[in-house]
Order: sequence, then C-alpha cells, then structure tokens
Amino acid sequence: MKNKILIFIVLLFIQVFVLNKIIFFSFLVLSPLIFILLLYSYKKDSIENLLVAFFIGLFVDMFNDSLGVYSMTSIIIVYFRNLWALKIIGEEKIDELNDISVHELGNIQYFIFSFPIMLVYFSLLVILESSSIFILDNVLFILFSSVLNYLFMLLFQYLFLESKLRDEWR
Amino acid sequence: MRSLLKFISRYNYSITFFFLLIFSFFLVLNESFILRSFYFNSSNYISGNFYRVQNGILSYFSLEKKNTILINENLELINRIKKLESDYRSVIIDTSTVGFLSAQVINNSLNKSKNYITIDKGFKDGVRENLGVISSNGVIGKVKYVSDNFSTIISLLNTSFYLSTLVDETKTLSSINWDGKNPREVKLLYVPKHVPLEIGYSVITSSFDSIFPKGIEVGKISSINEDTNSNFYDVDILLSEDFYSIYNVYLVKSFPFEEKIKLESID
Repeated sequence: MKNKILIFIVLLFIQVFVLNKIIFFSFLVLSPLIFILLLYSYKKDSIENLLVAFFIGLFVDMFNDSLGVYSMTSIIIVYFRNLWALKIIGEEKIDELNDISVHELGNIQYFIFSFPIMLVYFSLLVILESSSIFILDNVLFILFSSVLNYLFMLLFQYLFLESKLRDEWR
Repeated sequence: MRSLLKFISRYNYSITFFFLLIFSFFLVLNESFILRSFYFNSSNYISGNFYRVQNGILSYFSLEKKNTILINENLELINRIKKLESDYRSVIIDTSTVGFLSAQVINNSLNKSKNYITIDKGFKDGVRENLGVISSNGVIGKVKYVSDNFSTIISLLNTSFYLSTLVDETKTLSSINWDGKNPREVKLLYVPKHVPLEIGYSVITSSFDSIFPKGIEVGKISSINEDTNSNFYDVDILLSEDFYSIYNVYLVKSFPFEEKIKLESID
C-alpha cells in the first residue's frame, strides 16, 4: 500500500511538472492523473474516493492555473468509474478484487472497463478547456491521447504493479 | 427532521458528488473567485517555490540560448541608440513616466486555451495586479495574481485576454485576442473595412487600456481576409515574441496611468 501511494505521488509530480507542458505531435497528451484515478482502490459508494479525487484534481489545478478543470474532471471520472466497474465487473466479483487492474481482470475485460473512461476523461478536458469537442482536431486529440494513455497504463501496470495471481502461482 | 437525516445518510455518496461537482463547476466559471486570486494559482507559496527550484535546475540547460538572445538584444539596443543619436529624435517611450522591473519566467504554459506565465517577482518587489508585462521583442501579457514572492501573468495566448492596440501605419484603434489555435498568431479585431490595411503593417499598444504605454510592438499583420459578413476585417497578427522561448520579462509601471485609473473610477 505504501509503495502504491509513493508511486501515485511520483506520477502526480510527473503530471504537474513535466507532462502538463508537453503535447506530442500536436495531438497527444500523456496524463498520469488518469492512471491514478483508474487504479485508486475501489470502494462502493465511497466518499473517500470522491474527496481524494477532488483534492488530487485541485492540486493539479493549482499548479496549472486551471482552477476547477482537473478537480471537476477527477470527481466525474471517479463517480463514473465506480458505476462502470459495477456494470462491467459485477458486484460480487468486484469485492474479491484487490485492485481494478489488468492483472486481476485480464486484457479484454480491462480494455472494456478502462478505455471508455479514458475517452470520457479526455472529452471532459477538451470541453472544459476549449468548450467544443466537435472539431476534428479535438476529436483526434481525444482518440489518440486515449489510445496512448491506455498503452502507457498497461505498460505501467506490468512494470510497477504487482500481480497477485502471479504471486499465488509461485 | 428524522426523515431528512435518513435521506442524507442514505444518499450521502451522491450528495457529496453533486456538492463537489457544483463547487468545482463554480470554480471553473468564476474567474474572479477570491480563493482563486489568493491561493489556487501558480503564484502561491508552494507552487511558486516548486517552479523556482525546477527553473533553477532547467535554466542551466538553456544558457547558450539565453546568451544568444541577450547578444541579439544588445545589438538591437546599440543600433537603436545610434539611430536615435543620429536623428535627434525623441525616444518612442518617455522613460520619465515609465518604470521597468525585470523578472525571470519560472513557468510558462502554452498548450491550453487559457495560458498563464509565472514569474519570480511578487508583492515584495513592487509588483501589483494589472501591471503590463513585456519582453525585448514585444508585449507578453498583464499581471493577474500576486503573492509575496511570485506573480501569475495572464498571457497574450489566453482566450480571455483582450489588448487595446493601434495599427501603426494607419493609427486605427483596434483590439487583439487569441483564438486558441496557433500560438504564433493572434486576431486583430474591430478594424473597419474602409481602412486600407496591408500585410506587414505593425500593430502596437495604444495606451488606452491604462496598462501599457503607447508604442510597444505586438506584432505584424500576416494575413487579411475581407470576405466576411461583418463590417470588419478578419486579420491575423504574427506575434513579435516567440512564447516558446521567453526567459526574461519586464514589468511596466506607467505612473500617470495610476492617476488615470483613479480618475476614471470616480462615479
């Protein structure tokens, strides 16, 4: 748990001090904040989840001079994530999981769970930042950034998050 | 009362969500929110110091580029002095009424529709809200938030920032605003179609906004589109400053303007 918190703090600092300022090829943004929001422990109807998301978003906003944008996006994503997790994974199975990660769900179910959330996350950022998603540039930004972040999140999980199933197998 | 408490305890999760949602929505919409100007911006104590440390490390890697910029600045200043001496012309900006304060850029955002710049000078150094900010090449923005040691500048590359300008050759009063697309270009607004405009004309500050003295360069006209339904041109301005490489800026204290603002604020 301590390791996970440390990794989240490092991710947050990378988001704030490095990746906030970089757009790759005019269409791609790497946003570790969505990794934190997706991988943060699931608890049904947890006010703690909402408050943590709000304050993490507020922290990013403070450094980004975008007050409200990331805090609003974060709480919507966490609320949506909790509903979506129940729908995709089911209430019985979700209680048995330690984390909602690719190790626990498998590749296909994890894609179905996380990719729509990525799309919602980048759509919200575009709506709040530029007011319209119905511009080709913005649509491409949402699609490409979602794909890039999904791939990086898989890589991140394989590199840094332990697989309980693998441990059990040993 | 009991049923109300029961309702709250039953739906506390959704109630918390909607409360936080409404609160953050309020933060997004209300740019003049008091907490925003005091704490939640990049000029506050925590983020300002972080950016200063970050800039202290990163600035070593751009020393060569900074040197080149300073050499070019020096050359331009020398040329300007020589020209003024030979022509016996009066200086463009009357320095008896304008004071400058130099500052270093410690954070600069470029990839959003509302971009801000953070500098390492604050209230203790004499910075106040609404001071104009320029570089050796032209206008940068104006001071939005000030803490003791840092300030946040609303950049020209911010869709909510409008600047009063003049087309130098025709002396036409106009405004500029960024449309959020190309960070090298802004839009020139409110120039009527009867005014003869040409590509390459200079756009300078007008001084009517009480922020900048008259005559500071903003950019040059790069394209003119007359085929619009309105009575005004659709004009693009190529900015004289490259916002991707701003390291040092100057804050403009225009003394007569403080008196002007006071006078204008009297009902």
